[in-house]
Amino acid sequence: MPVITYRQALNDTLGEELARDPNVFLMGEEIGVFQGSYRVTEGLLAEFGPKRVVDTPIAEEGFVGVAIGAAMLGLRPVVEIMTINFILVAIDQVVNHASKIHYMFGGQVSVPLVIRTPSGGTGQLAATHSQSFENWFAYCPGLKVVAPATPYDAKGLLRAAIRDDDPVIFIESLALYDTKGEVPEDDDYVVPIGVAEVKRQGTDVTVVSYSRMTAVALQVAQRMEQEGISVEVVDLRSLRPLDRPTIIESVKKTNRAVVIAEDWYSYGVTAEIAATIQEEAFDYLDAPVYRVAGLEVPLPYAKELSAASKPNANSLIYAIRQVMRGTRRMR
Amino acid sequence: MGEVTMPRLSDTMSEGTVGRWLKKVGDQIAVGDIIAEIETDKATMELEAFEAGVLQQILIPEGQTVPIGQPIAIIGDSAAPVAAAPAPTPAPAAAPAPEPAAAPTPAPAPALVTTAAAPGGGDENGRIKASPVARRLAEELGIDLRQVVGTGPGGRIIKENVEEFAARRGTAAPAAAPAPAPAPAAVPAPAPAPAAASAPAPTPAPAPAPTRAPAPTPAPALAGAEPLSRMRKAIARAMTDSKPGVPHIYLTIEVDADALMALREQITAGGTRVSVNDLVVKAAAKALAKVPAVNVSFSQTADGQPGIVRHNQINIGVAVALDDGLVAPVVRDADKKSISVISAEIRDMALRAREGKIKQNELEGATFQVTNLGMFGIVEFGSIISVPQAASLAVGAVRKVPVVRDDQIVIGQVMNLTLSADHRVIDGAVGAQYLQELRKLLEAPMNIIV
Repeated sequence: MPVITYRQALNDTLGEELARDPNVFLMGEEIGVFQGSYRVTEGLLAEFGPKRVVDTPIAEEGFVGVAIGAAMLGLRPVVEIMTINFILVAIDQVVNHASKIHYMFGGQVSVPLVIRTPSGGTGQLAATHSQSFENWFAYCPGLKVVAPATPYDAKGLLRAAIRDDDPVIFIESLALYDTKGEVPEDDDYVVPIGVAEVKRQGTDVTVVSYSRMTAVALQVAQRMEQEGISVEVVDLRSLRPLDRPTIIESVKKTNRAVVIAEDWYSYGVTAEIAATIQEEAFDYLDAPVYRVAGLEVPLPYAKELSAASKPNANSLIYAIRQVMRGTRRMR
Repeated sequence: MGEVTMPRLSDTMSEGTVGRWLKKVGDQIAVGDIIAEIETDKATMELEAFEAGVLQQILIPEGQTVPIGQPIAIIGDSAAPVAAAPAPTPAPAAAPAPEPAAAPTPAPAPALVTTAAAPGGGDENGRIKASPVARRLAEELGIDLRQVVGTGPGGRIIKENVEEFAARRGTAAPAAAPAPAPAPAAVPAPAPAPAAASAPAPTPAPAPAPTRAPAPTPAPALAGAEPLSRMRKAIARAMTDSKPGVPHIYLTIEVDADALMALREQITAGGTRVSVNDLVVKAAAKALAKVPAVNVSFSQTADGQPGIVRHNQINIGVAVALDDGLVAPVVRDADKKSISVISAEIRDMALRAREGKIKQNELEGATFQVTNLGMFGIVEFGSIISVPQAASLAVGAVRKVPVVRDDQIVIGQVMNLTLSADHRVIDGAVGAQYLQELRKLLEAPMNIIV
C-alpha cells in the first residue's frame, strides 16, 4: 500500500471529490493562486479552474455565509479557514445558521457544507494563532466535528464529510501535515463519521485521544510497553457525534483511563470524555480518570514556555503512571 | 487540624513502619518536633511535625506498616476529641507478618476479625477507600474489604489487591463469578506497529516477537509463602529493576596483589586499621577519575528520550551484608579522600547499618558500587548493577597461587576483579580500559595513596 503524507491524502481527496461531483467546489483565503497556506490545495486551481477553486478576500464571515447559501441551494462547498483561530469572526454563521437551518426550515433544506481548518499550537505561533476551538463546535447540536489523526483517516473522513448532507467541521493539524501513513490506492473507502477506532490494543490503561494527540499517545504506548505497561489507544476520530460505546468498552476492559487533548483543561474535550466514562463505566474503574490538557494561559510565544503549556508525551506518561499507582508494576 | 501521613522518605519507599511513637496523645507539638521514628525499607528515620498543635490521635500503632500517604496521626488545635472516635486500628490481615512464623499459618481466620476493628484502608470515619471495580469484585467474590490492604494512592484498595487477597485466601470464588482477568493468551495481538524501522536488525535465531517487556512478574502463590521483610522487598524490586531491564556485560581481570598486601601490612603495622576492601574502594575511585566514561548513568532526557548522565562526583557505594539483606552506604568524593578517612567512614556506616541506624541520605547518591565477597573465599563473581548506576565492581578473595616470576614458579597472591557494566552506556573496551587502570593502581599501590 502506498505511504503518503496527511497533506497529500487531503490534496488527493479534494481533487478526487472535485472530479467525482460537479457540485463540489472549494473556497478560502490563498487556496488558489498561492496553492494554500499549508499547500493542501496545491495544483487544484490549475486542474479545476477558478469556478471550482475560489480565492476569497480576508472576510471569513462573508464567505462562510456565501458557502452556507450555496449549500442550501444544492452545491457542496468545502471551505478552508486558514487556522481555526480565524473562524471566530464567522462563528455566528456556523452556529446560528449552518447548524440550525435544517431544523428551523422543518427539514426542507440541508446544509452540505465542509469547513476544513487546522487546530492546535505548533511552531511558536503564540497566543492568538495556536488555539484549539473544536470543542466549541462539538458543543453545538446540528454540527458534526471530525478530527482525523492519520492519512488513512484523513482521506476516509474527508470523503465522508463532503458526501454528508449536514455541516461538518473538519479539524486538521499543522503538526500532522507531514506525517506519513499507508493509504490504499483505487479504493473509494469512507471512514464513517461518529465511529472511534482502537488504534492500539492494550490491557492496563486506556488512553483516549484524537488528532495530533493520538500520534503522541501511540508513541507513548510503545514506550510504556518497555516498562511493562500495556496501553490501549482509543482514537475518537469524531467529536460529534461521539462514539461513547467504543470508549466504554475499552475502559471496561482496562479499568483505567487517561484522556488527552490539546485544548484548555476546564470545560474542554477531556471533561466530556471523563464524564462519559464515570457515568457509563463507574463500576469498572480502578482509579480516577486522569485528564491531560493545555495549561489555562494564552499560549506564550517563548519556545520553552510554549512547550511547557501544551500536553506532550511526558505529561501523558506522568498521567499514565498516576493512574497505575499501587499496581504491581508500579509498586 | 491536620493529618500526619506516612511520608515518602526515599525513592524506593512505598510503605513504612511506625517504629516508635515519641509523643503521646495529648502532648503539645511544636513545628519541627520529632514525633515518631519511621522504618523505611532500608533505614530508620525521624518524623518531624510540620504543624503545631496537640497530638489528638495516633491512628497507627507501633510496629504497623502502612502505605505512604496513609494518615498515621492527627494533630489538632486543642486536646478536644481525644477519646471521641475510636482510633481505627489496621485490620489484622493488613500488616505483613512482622516475624516469619515457624509454621506456615493459614490466612487469618475471618472469625478473628472483630467488627469493631476499623478497616485497613478506612479513613477516620470508618469508610473503606476502594475503587469501584475493587468493590464490585469483592462483592462478587464474597470478600470483606476490611480485610484487604490497599496499595493504591492513600491506601485505596484497587482491583489487584482484591485479586491477590482472593488468591491468598485460596477460596475458590463462587463458580458463577467471572474470572478476574482474561488469560494472557486471550489478549489480542498488538495493533500493527506504525513502522518496524526502529527495530534492531533481525538476529539469525528466530527471536520470539517482542511483546511485553519482562515486567516483574507476580510470583505464583505457593502454600507456606512468608512475607518478605521490607528490606528484602526493596532488594527484590531493585534487582528486578536492574536485571531484566539493564543489559549487563561482565569483564574479569586478575590482579597481582603482592604489593597491595605488603602495603596493607605496612599501614597496619603503623597502627592504622585498613582492609583490602578500603584500598580497593580508593583505587576504584581513582581509576574512575582516569576513566570517567564509567562514572555515568543511563537516563532519560527532559523530553523523554534515552540519555546519559556523566557524574562529576565520584561516590562509591560499598555493599554491606546484614542479617537479612544488604545496604550500600556511600563514600562521597572517594577519589579525594585519604585511605584512613575512607576506612573510618565505611566502618562507621557499616556498623550503624547493622544496627539499623543508618540514615537514608547516606544510602543515596552512589555513582559506582564496590562489592566484596572475598572474605567468604569467593574467587570471582558478577554483581548486579544498582540502577541508576551503570557499573559495579565485584571483588574476589586474595589467594595464594603459583605464579611464574623470572621463569621461576613461586608463590604469589592474586585477586580477581569483575566489572559489571550497563552496556547501553559502557562498552566492553571502555570497561576493559577501566579495569586496566585499576590493575595498574593496585599493582603499584603507592599510586593509590599519592
